[in-house]
Amino acid sequence: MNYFELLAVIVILCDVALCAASRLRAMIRAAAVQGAALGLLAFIKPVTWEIVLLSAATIAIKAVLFPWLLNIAREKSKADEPAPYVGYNFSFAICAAMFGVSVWLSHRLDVATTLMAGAFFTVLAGFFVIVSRKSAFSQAIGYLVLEGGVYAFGMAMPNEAPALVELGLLLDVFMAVFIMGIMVYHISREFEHADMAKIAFLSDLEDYD
Amino acid sequence: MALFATALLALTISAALSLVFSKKPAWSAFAGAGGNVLAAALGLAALAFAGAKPHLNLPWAVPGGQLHIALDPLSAVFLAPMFVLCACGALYGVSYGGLNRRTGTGFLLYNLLTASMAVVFTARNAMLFLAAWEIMALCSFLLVVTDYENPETRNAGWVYLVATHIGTAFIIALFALAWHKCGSTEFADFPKAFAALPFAAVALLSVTGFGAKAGFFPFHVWLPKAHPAAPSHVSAVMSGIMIKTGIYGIIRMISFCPPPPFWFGGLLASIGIISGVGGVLFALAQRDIKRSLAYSSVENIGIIALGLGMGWMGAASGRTDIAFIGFAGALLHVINHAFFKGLLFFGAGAVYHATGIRDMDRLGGLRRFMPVTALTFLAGSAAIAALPPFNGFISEFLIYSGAFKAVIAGRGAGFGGLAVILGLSLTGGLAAACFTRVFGIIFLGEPRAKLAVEHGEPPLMVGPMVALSALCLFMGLAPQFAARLVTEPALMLSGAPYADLPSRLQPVGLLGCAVVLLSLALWFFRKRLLAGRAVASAPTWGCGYSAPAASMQYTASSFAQPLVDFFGIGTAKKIEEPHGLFPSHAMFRSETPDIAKSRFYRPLFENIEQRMSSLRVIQHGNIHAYILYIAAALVALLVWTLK
Repeated sequence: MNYFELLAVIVILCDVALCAASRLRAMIRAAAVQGAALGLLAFIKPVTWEIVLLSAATIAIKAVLFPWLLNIAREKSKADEPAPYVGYNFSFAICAAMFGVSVWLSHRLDVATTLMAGAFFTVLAGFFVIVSRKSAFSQAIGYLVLEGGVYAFGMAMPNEAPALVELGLLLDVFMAVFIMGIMVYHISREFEHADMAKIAFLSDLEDYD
Repeated sequence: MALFATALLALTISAALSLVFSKKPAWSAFAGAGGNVLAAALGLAALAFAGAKPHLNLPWAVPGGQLHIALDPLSAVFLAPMFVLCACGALYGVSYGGLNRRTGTGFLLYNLLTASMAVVFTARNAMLFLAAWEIMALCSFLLVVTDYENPETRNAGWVYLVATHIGTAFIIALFALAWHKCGSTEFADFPKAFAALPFAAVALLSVTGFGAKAGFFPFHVWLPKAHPAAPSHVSAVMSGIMIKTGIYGIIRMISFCPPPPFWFGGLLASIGIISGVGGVLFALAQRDIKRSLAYSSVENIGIIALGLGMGWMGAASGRTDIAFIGFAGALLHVINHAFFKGLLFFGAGAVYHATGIRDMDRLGGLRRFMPVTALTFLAGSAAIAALPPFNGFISEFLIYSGAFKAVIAGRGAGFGGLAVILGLSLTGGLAAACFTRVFGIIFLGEPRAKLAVEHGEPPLMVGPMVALSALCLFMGLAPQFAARLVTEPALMLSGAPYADLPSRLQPVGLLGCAVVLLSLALWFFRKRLLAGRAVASAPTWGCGYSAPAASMQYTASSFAQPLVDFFGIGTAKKIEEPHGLFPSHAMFRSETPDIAKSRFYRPLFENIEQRMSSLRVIQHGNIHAYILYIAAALVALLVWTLK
């Protein structure tokens, strides 16, 4: 098992931890570790200074900056539960099913590496966290992880994906999570909670319920 | 082509500038209106000095798209009135809209609307055409809802947006079919594609798709909603020229087809008769000036369709002379209608600007307060009622003369010609009644309600009206110039020239001159007769009423009542009759809802809504579930492509 396989396994394990975590702090930590692993994964490509930049930026943003910001916001809003729709045990079962689907998908793509399966799994896990947890924080974390999956996909492709694209994606997610963070902060200040399920009453659809 | 491209550039730059200066309304009005007038000058110069085959073809990043525009005689017929009317509207809009926080965005949208129409009329690539078409629809929608605080305006905008996109859907279907057949989005390749497609499909898709924009009768419902809601210079541009993009689209698409069969001409002529008579009847029944003008646009679109229908009927039965006259008449009416309808909307806007009232039953006697508006409105009314010496007479004369030729020729075309004559004369007669009513009720008599005439006649509003009425008169007296403009496209459509159209039309213009001279002579005669005699003005004979009041005058509703009742177009009346010897309270109220809306669209859409309401369960406002839908769709697509 080489060095990159190990990183891919770490990415996958972080996804599992994310889906099973019952504390926001744990989710943020899992996302941070995954961010660091993804940053190091950049060296799977031939090393150019762009790749070094990409790796450094990924680690700085995903492993340090976002977790730090999210932790501050979490402490301000005094929320520490992802408030799931589905229980943690059932989440674990879904996690296993998603991993199965990911492995199958990577086989169909003829790039049956651990990393490719991990990439699909990370995207699905991100979606799952967004969908199944009520807290607005888990939405932001889920989006972050989802983007990490897209990034891992780029790394897993055998041909050379331009590092510029990856940097662009990083910028994109940076903006998105930044805006989400501000929004969550304001929402939690106005409504004393950040439960997305309850915020649906802001919708202008008259008869949504 | 460089001139034309510069005109487009001037429009977009001035649009951006007016937005940038939106904190300083005077600057943005100057930039917007100035840019539009400059673009009009450049555009008209481009039309006048167009080279042999002016076109511009640049690569475009959009898949299948090319920035390919070209000027040809058919485009010129639409572009020339467009530039004139848009420039007049821009100047008029400065005074009409006033200088406020909406000036900047107003001119941004107005100039973008102008630019997008210019591209629609010149695009030679389906993607570019659709992009310009959509920008045009969105800009005009946003302009319609300028007064968005008013719920009625928002509703009007909504109806317009839905109507225009239903039309666009058909156009996209047409282009997609063509692309499927020839694998290209260039208009130059469309003839190949249309030759391989059944003609009926192309014809029906373009008549429905472009007809929704043009306002053919069953598709016209957005016009009487959007035109009263929009600012008047926008209504003028939308009604004068934007709806003609539909006519342009039909002509352009059919010109890519093999020669159309006889039934297509018959179809267009029938649509023309229905739109013409239906439009003018509803125009007669309306109390809102601008709604009445909007219905009258449906009528005029009907007249244009009538001319086109006659053209294609003539072409199909081998009579290129009838075809030529029909097409020439229709295209001439496109130009004429742009001018006189723009003029009338400007006049209606001036009335609204001065009084704040659009309900004709409350207006009256405005000639004394607004003499220039009254005079120009009278000119516009005479033009739209096709009376010499104005331009409306010329185009309808052409269509009549073609129809008479068809009747003399007999056979299939003869029947068509007869129908055209009957439809057109009914339409024309009713239009004369309609505009007698509009002009008479607004400008003559006494005010029917308390009127506060405020702003008077600002020069920037009067100027465009005078210019347009002068243009209407000039085109009526000297039709040969406009005739020169339509000769070539009519030739292209009919295949063979009939005769030298400009010189044939000159005597018709002389007839107009004779009318002018005769009126002048009569006026001088009257002056001479009255010279040296005492002239006193006094109230007219009061029918024996001892205390005549303004409310005893004919109102717009009572003037139209005999005709409206005769045709039975579903006017709803609410009457509380006076009772007893000393009746105290009585009231009368009439309203004419649109037949197409109340009998066709409302049941249709209500039915659809009922059927679709069961789908509401998936739209419940829960963000998590919405994201789940996206995720599920993505995973399903992945599994589907990789399985």
